[in-house]
Amino acid sequence: MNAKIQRLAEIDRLIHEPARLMIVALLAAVKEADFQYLHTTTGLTKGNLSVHLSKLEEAGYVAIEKTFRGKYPLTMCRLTEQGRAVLESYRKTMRSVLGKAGNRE
Amino acid sequence: MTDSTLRPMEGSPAMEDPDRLAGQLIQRAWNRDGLPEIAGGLIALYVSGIFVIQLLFEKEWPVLRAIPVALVLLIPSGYLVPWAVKKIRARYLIERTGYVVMRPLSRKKRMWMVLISGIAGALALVAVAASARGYNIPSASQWILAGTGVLGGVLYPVCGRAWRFVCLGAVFAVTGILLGLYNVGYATGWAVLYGVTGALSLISGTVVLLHYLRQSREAGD
Repeated sequence: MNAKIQRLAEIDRLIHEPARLMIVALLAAVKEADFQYLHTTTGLTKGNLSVHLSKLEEAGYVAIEKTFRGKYPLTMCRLTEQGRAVLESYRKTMRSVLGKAGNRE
Repeated sequence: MTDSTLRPMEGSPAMEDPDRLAGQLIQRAWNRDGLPEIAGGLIALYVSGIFVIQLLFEKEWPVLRAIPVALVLLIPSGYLVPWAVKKIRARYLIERTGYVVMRPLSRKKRMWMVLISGIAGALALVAVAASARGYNIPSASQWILAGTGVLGGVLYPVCGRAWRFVCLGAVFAVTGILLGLYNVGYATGWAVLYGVTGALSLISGTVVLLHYLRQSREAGD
């Protein structure tokens, strides 16, 4: 149990932050999404979302591409392979450590 | 707008489970503008209309023909409605809703969808064939109407994830059970069940869409 708990210290803090975890989880569930979709779905302010996306892009977890759909400019975001791997590792760690934590039985 | 039925259902954010969190967010986003409700409401009204026609022209068009016609409409609509909603959104609401490309459904999920559609279709055809051969299952229409109501009542909130879907589900379930109890028969039962819920979905979806457009316009200003 001790070793399991200690695994929490190794968790990736960049995606552990709730807003960033929300962004990464959303991007993992879709193929790609634009900035506006992430803004309306997460409920984060545009400034806040922009900062978090920049951090995730710097870390190489998210790829951002500016494009157009007709006349409408799109800032498309997608999770990179590295981002997907980090999320998978985060998920495994959290499940293994907290899987039964708080269970009253 | 302070209508609590427009608010998403509050649940634990489930930060320890990113899959669940993403699923909830995407599902709420899908129903946010009321378009799926409007589309669903229109289809339900259309199905109700088929049974109303059947009631009006009972001799020329027996119930055995109305059921397959309704099924032919209902089962593919499960595939067509999401496609149509996506197209309308991408064409008219993209600046408000944003643009998203969903991941293709996994083979397992696609298999389940085909299997469930197949079972529903096969059961209906068996029921139609049994009726055509003169088999009479006692109270079958009562159980089927009540069962349809309960199933719809459960599916509405699960698919919608907002309080207004709980209300719609409750109306669907209660209507189905009452119709079953009063033993009104298939045609009347389905005409009323789909008519009531279709009209309510249409009204609810329109209110949500108007609210959504006004809200996003104000946010844009």
